[in-house]
Amino acid sequence: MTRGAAWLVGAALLVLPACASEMYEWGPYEDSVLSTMHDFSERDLLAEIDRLEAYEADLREEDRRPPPGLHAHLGYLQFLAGNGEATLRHFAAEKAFYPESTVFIDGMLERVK
Amino acid sequence: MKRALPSAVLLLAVLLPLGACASTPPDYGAYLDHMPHSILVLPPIDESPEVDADLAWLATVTRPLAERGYYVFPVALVQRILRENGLPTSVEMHAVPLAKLREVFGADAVLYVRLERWGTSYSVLDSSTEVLYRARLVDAATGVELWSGTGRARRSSGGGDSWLAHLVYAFVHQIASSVSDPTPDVARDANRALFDDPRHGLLVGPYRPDFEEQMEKARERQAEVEEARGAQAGG
Repeated sequence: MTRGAAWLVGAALLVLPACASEMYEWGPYEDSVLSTMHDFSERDLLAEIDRLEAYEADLREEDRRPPPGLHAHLGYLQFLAGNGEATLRHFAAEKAFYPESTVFIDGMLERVK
Repeated sequence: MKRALPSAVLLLAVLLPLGACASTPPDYGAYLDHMPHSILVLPPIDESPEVDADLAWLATVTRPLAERGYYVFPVALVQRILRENGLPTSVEMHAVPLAKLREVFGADAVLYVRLERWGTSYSVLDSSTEVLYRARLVDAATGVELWSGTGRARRSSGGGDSWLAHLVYAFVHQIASSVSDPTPDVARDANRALFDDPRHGLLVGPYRPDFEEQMEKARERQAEVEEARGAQAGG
C-alpha cells in the first residue's frame, strides 16, 4: 500500500516538469507591454526603447526566434520616438518572422507614412 | 494500520484531481475545422472593482498563448490603435463587427474576455488574491465559437500559530503588497491552468514543434467524441 502510493506520487511528479520549458525568451517584453498601455513621458519611452533594442540584439546574436509581436511593438515605440528608419526595419522583421501579421503591419505602414 | 493512513491520504490527494477532470470530453469539432494560426486578444471587459485590471491582465496573456503555439497580435499596440480609432472602452471594442477586425488585423480568431475578479482582499488574519475570468475564442471569418473556458486561480497567504504571528504577518504582508502586487502572478497561474489544460485547454498551435502530432491526437479524440454522440443519438 505504502509502496503503491509512493509510486503514484512519483509518477504524478514526473509529469509536471514536462510543461516547464518555453519556446521563447521573453526578457523585458511583458513589462514593456504593460507600460506602453499606460501613458508615459518621452524620457521613459527612450529608456524603454534602449532596453528592448538590447534584448532584441541578444536574441539575434543567439539566433533565437523573437516572440510574436515583439518587432511590431518595438517598431511602434520607435515610431512614437520619431525614428522612421527603425520603425520600418522592425515592422519588416515582424512580417518576415510572422506572415500572419501581414495585413496588420501593412495597415500600420500606411499609418506611419 | 497507523502507518497505512498517511499513504492512503496521499493516494486520495493524487486521485482527487484526476477525478475532477473525468467529465464529458469537450467538442473540438469547430476548432479543428477552423484551426487558427493567429489570435487577436481584445482588451477584456472589466467587471472587477480594480482600476486598470484589464490592462494588467492583458499584459499577462501574450506569453501563454504564444507558448501554446499561436501568433498573438501585439496587445499594447492593438489597444492603442482601437482607442485612437474612437473606441475608448473595451465594451465598445467588443462590439466591433468581426469583418472589421479581420479587415484591420487579418486575424484568424478573436479572444473575448470578461474579467470578473481581480485583486487581493485582506482580513486581519490573512489575505487572498484571486483572478477569475471567462474567455471565448471566436473564428473571425464565420463568427463560430471555437472554444470557451473559465480562468481561475487564487493564492492565500497567512500562517503562524499564534494570533500575534497572524497579526504581524498580515501587517507586514499588507505593506509588502503595496510595493509588489501579487495579482499578475495569480493571473499567470489562471492563464496556464486554462490554456494548457490537456483536456479542456486550447489546442496546440502551429508554431509548436509538436503541432502535427498534437493535431493528429486531437482529431482522434474528436472522432471518439463524435462516435459516442452518434451511439447516444442512435440508441
